[in-house]
Amino acid sequence: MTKFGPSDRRLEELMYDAAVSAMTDAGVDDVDGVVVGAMSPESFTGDSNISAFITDYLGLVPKPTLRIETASSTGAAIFDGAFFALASGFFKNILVLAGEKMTTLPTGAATKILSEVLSPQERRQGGTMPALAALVARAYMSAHGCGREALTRVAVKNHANAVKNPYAHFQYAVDAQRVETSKMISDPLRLYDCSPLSDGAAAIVMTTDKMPIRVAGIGHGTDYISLAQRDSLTSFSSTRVATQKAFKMAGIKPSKIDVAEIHDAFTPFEIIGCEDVGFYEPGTAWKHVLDGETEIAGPLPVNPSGGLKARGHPVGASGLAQIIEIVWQLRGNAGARQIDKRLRYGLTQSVGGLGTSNIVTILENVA
Amino acid sequence: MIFPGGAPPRLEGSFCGKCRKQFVPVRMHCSKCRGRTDLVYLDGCGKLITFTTLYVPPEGFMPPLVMGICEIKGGLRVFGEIHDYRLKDSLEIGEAVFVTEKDGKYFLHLERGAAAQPATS
Repeated sequence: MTKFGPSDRRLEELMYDAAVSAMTDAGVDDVDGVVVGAMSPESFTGDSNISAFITDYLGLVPKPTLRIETASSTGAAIFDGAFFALASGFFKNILVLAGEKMTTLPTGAATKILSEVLSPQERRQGGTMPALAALVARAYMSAHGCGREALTRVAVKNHANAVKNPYAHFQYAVDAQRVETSKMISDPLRLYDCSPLSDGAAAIVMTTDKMPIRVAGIGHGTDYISLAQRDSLTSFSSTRVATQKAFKMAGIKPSKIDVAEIHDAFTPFEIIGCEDVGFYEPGTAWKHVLDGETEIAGPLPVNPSGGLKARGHPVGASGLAQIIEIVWQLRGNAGARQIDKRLRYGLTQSVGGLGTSNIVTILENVA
Repeated sequence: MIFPGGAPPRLEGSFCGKCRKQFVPVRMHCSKCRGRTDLVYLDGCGKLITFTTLYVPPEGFMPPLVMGICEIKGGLRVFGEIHDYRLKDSLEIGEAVFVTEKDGKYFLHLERGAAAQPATS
């Protein structure tokens, strides 16, 4: 993958860089097909037909290619789609490649593009991703007695982890005071509760050959596009559905997971995500976060990469970047942020839109 | 089918007779069973279940933008803008609100706000 954050490189160049590093890592110079992910290149950079464009740019014509898009879980969705294509037996190896170029536009314009994933009524009234996330945050905090300090702890932890990640957008630490005095975006969410607008690309080569890391489980669930019409405002049903499917396929329980990357586009989403994937009982994850259990040195490290919060969030690429971090952690080559114990299972959870298309992926180290 | 829904404010919505599910805004088909819905008028009175003040709105909106979700009688939840942004610092989860609709936008009015304001013609 590329370093995330503002970049001078064009979208196709970022995706080229990610693809070359993945193919080099895999030791292949050819693939049977390319699955491309990008959320809104039409709006951000004016590019459509992006899968054919990128396949040409990579020198892989006439290989088949297609694009998959599920809003902010796109990077996980292409991995999901490529897995089932490989499982069909018609392909032997596939380049899975995701990227987004977001920093070319002013923040207001980018915020508007991101809000286009919401229901037409909610965005017609000025609803944005941070605003709707704030509605979820307040409902969760009020229902479960969760205070501001738990959100702060997530931000502080993820920034500290990103300091050790050369691919991260923000490679600096923040303290609680800096988080809690940062600009109010949508009450109760402050600037440091929100992931940034980033450029970046990520890529993986997936194969049917036996490898040290295998896909143990994949699950995907959806929910109603309107936030107001969900059954719950304090949990994402789409994650719960995806979790159930992924663990059933893997044949394990959540207690077997050694490391996780959870979609912390907003700090409360990491807390809710930890509950939705079955790590903690509903309404209790914030206490475990405050106890330090999800730190790199804790019993269940969450977002050792720095998460979306600090690694950055090029929307279409984040889901795949999460999977890459888990691969590196399971292999034991995550550098200074490597979790210092034997890791067998790792999990990623990716949220598409405001919880409308969520994907859970479980990887196993079989080396 | 018309639900009398008591005194106004009444809210135009949809109802699936099979699933007993209500929808606002109006939609032609039920999100649960895909069956055809009926047009109904719902009682717009309910309570606030969450809210936020957005200080960084998208292009075309002025901050602060105060919005929330309320739950009306029958359990339906409606997203809307809090009618008076000056109340942003005194909002409380659970307080009584009623919903009105204008040009496809929904507004949540605080019952206390309505009582405190002088009547206008």
